[in-house]
Amino acid sequence: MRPVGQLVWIRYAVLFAFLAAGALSLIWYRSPKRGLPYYDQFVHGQLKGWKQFGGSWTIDGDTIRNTSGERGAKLITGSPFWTNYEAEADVQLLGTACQTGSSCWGDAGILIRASDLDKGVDSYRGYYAGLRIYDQSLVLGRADYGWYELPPIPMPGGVKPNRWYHLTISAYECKIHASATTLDTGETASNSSIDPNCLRSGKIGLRDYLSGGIWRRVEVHALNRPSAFPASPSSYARIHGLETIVKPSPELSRRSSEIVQIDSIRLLAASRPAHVTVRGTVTLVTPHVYIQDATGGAEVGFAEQTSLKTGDEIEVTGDAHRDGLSVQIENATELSIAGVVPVPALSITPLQAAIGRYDGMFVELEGRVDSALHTDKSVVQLHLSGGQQEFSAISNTPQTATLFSKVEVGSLVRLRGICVLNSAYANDSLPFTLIVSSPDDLELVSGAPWWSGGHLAVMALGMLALGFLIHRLYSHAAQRRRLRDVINTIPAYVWSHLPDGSVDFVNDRWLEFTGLSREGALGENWATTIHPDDQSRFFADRETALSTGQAWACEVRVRGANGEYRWWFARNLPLRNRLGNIIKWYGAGVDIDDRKRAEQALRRSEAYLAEAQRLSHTGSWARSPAGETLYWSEESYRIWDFDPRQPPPNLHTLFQRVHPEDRDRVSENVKKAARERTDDEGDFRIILPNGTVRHVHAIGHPVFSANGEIAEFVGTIVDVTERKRAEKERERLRQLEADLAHLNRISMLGELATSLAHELNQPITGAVTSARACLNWLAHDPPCLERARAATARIEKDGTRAAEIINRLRAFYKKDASPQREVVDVVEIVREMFVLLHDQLDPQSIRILTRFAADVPKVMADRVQLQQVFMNLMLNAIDAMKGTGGELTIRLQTEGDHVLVTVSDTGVGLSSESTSQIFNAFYTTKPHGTGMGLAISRSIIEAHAGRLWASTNGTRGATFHFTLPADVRA
Amino acid sequence: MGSGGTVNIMRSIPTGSQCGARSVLRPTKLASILSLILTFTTLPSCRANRTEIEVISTTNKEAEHEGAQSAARGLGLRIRWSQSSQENDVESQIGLVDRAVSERYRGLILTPDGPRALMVPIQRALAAGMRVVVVGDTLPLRPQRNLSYIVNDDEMIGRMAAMRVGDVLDGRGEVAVVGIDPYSLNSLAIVSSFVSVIEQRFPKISVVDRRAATSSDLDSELVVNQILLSHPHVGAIFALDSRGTIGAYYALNARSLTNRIKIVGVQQTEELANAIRLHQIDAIIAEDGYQMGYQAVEAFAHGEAKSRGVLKLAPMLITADNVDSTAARPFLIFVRPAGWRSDYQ
Repeated sequence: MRPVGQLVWIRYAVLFAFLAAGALSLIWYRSPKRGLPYYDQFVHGQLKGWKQFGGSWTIDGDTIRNTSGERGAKLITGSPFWTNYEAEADVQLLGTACQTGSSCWGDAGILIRASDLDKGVDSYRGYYAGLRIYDQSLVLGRADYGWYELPPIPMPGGVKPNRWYHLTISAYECKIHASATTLDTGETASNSSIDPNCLRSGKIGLRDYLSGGIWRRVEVHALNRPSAFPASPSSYARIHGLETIVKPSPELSRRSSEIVQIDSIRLLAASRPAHVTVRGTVTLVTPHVYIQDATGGAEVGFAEQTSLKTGDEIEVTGDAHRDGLSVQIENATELSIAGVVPVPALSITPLQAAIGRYDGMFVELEGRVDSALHTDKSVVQLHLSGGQQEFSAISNTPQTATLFSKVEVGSLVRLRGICVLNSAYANDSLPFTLIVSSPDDLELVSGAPWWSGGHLAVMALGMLALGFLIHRLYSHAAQRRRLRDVINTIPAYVWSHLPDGSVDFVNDRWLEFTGLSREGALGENWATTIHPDDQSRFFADRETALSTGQAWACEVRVRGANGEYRWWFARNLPLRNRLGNIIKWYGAGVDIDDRKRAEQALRRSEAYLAEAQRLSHTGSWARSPAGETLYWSEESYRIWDFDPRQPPPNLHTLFQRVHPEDRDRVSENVKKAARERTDDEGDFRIILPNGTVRHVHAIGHPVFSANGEIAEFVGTIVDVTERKRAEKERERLRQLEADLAHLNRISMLGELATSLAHELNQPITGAVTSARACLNWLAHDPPCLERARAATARIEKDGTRAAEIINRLRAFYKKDASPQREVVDVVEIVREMFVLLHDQLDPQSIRILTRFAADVPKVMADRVQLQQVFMNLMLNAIDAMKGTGGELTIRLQTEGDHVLVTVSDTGVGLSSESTSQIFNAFYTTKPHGTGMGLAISRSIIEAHAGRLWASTNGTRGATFHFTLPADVRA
Repeated sequence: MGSGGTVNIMRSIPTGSQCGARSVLRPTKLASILSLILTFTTLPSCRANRTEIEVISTTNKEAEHEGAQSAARGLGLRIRWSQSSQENDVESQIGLVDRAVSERYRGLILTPDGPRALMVPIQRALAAGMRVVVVGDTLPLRPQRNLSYIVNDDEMIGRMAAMRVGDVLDGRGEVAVVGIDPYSLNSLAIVSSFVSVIEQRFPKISVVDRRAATSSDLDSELVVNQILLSHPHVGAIFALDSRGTIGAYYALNARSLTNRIKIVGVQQTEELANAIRLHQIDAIIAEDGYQMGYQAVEAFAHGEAKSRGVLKLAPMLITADNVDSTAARPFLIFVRPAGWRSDYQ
């Protein structure tokens, strides 16, 4: 694309060219020598450039003639800016406005420096030189809407009609000169003048007064110096001070004779020609003379040549006869009567004309042009229709023919002319013909209807052409607009640069990104947008491409409008001409910054994944149903101990490393998963090349294609060797813990031995006593059975109590007692513990308080383990209060969906250090403690989804809390 | 010359009933066929216009009408008679011609009022393929294929008139001519023939005045009065139209000069026939209007329009001696016969 500045200059240049052309055209148009020298084109029948102001002007051969005989008819041509020039022509007066024995009038000549022209006798401004019959002289004067003339110069040999004179009139500044030469005799007259307030410029023209006239060889030449002018100032007359010349009106004589009306000639000439005299006005002089009176018109053939003009009122005497309905007068002689008042046309309809009553009359009618026939340059025949009739109109002069030829078919025209029924014109097919002499006799009423076939065709073609042009222009513009829109809206940064590397175009998106103006981006200014770290590489590659002409691409960071650099992928291609020379480079850049960031994120993610797999010893893989490995993660290589640089092993190779004892199972599982299209999961061992055995957990998942077939298996393999080892260790520790708990219980049992002995001694002693009493009662005579029975009952009760104590003890110290969860009433257990610990409590020093809530729910727990927890806590509390005494308080309450048990004492309490460590194994504050009681108790409580913790009391002692989930079923 | 009218002749054509009466069919089928026939017979393509002849005439052409009707009856043609309601209604005649062309009549028989003004319409009719017979007048158009003329023998009229004037003036005296239509070639031809015969056969008779036709009887009477003032010794008046004859009769009758000044007229009317019977008018040269109509239809029917060219029909001199003769009867038909009768048989 061309730079904007260059376009502006081009526009200024075009505008200047237009203005200069306009100024030159104006100067040329106003030039005083434009069109000079001038030569008429009458010989070619052309009247182009001439304008009529009255008269009836016709071209005849190489001459132009005015036959109207009116006063001051003018024919004008030339430039209004002609100043110093000379006009000349041969002039002949057609006739005179004179009567027998009377004075004659009339003149004909040439106008120069004519302006402000109008129809009328002296209706113009300019200089006129002419030959005048009245005083047989060369007349020179000036018209300024009034006539002023110099003293006329008598013309040697006089001025006569039908004689050629060569007339010259010239003007140089304010000097006016005229001369006339009789061509037959060579006799000459001239006249000169200086007009102080002269007319400076104007057109030329031909003019006559009454006489009519003929002109030929009209020439105009520019004058550069007044060579033809008299040198002596005294030779010049002064125009100012001359009197206005008023021409006398011609006095016409009348001849009385017996006059007949033209219309009546038809009756008179019924059988043979009748010698008649008619009086009428000349309506046509060529090609035939027609006269007209109030009743009709007639064609007149004169015995001798005449110089009649249209409008002449004459008397005609001759032999009248009838040709059809037309009246003709032959062998006629004429007598001029008066003036030059043309007959007005009778306005009639074509139907009236067709009936035949207006034969030979000057009529006006309207018709629509059906066709035009060009006979020659001076005759054009129009075929017209109107008022149910058809007729023709024939041009009688070249001017009329020219006008006829311009009339479009279908136009409605108003014509004035001589209505002729003569079959020579109408050709026996049309009722009449109109002979039209003057261009003024044709008026266009309305143009051809636009819907005519020709017009429609032209319009259609025009519309098609216009549509095609608009389509082309619009398409071109639209294409340019679309191309511009595309270039500016595509998600790319587009530019072009010249072969030397200077950028000449960037698109809007480029400007929007960089924030540079268009001017700021062109040339080499864009280079600042390249990241400094990339510039050396970028420009080196660019220089290489420019020198080699090879297309090139690169990834480069470009600075945006916000100062942030973004990665672009830029590609440049050269455009070559037919010779293969690079004329331009085109390039486009795509923002790949997001892709770059995504790639970095992906790489980071993959690293994280690899690290995660490494840390979790988890490898991932994918394989085809046929066993070909499609993907094999880095950790998989490590777990299976394969070289990561080698292709991933296939399934068969992998099976080689599966432990022989597991191989069949694994193989069967793989086959089963493929067969049943299910997941495959299992643990097995692998043997590495160094003999190491690893436990792995593998999961395979089939991935199905769109058609339901297994496309591939994806899965993971986890190295669970460490976990296996940990599980074994945990099992060992759990066993150890169980042993320790048993040991704890045994230990506690030792501590309880005395109490247990006392406890057991009581029922046994009671039972012995009761047995003795029973024997006594039985020994009575009679035996007191009632009392014996009561004694026996006491024996049974004591025995049962002793058995219960023994059973509880046995269960408590039983080593392999497995947890047996059941619904347990915590209140009952607390009371049982009071029974067990009864002897441990010193009633004098330790007071037991219970605070049981009303609705303590039961819990799902192992009774023995719960007893062990209570025993631990209560023994610890008793130990803490030995020697000092105190209160052992046990609270049971509900807290949410848990039962909260609190065992509180008022003993020595716990230090802050002890509070945090007393639940650790082997930590004890007692001299003979194992350090396992609280640790075991916490593990038991936590195994029951509860929590055990300790706290120090505010004043004395410590409190142990534990919670157990309430049994919702209770 | 005078007035005229229009006559159409139609050839017999199949009618709707003829189209549908060819076979005996079931009522339903017959109804369908009749419906179709009725439909098609109302279509323009089945209209009878293409076989009709439009006859366009001027006023007072009852004899011509009767002749045309008579010929049409004999030939089985249908004609449509169109007659101007007033004299010299050229525009109306042009309209009738154009209508006949647009309605596609087969032929046209025309008695023109303004011959030249009808040139173009007749050419349009010829271009449309119609046969045209121009009756009573000639046009600048030459006889050609489909165009023929049937006219009065104008020269004979002029000659008959001249001979009758010569007879009644006994070879000497003055005669005036009135009722000349200066824009009618027929009228001018009669005058020319009349003057020529007078000049040749009766050199002692001079034609002292010639007057154009007028538009009313009263104007004609005034014209004759002027002649009588200008030429008190005029012995005969030759009137080229019935209006001029009647005007002359009125003028002479008012001055009781009917016995001294003889009237020879052209164109017959019932009033003039009665005047002949009363010896107030010497003679009338009657046109054979009946034959004009008859011959025009005959020419059309026999295709003679393209070959006959110009048929001139001889006129008849009607005087008191023969006004009621059998020979004169066809020339003196002034009204249509009484009673209803179809134009078509």
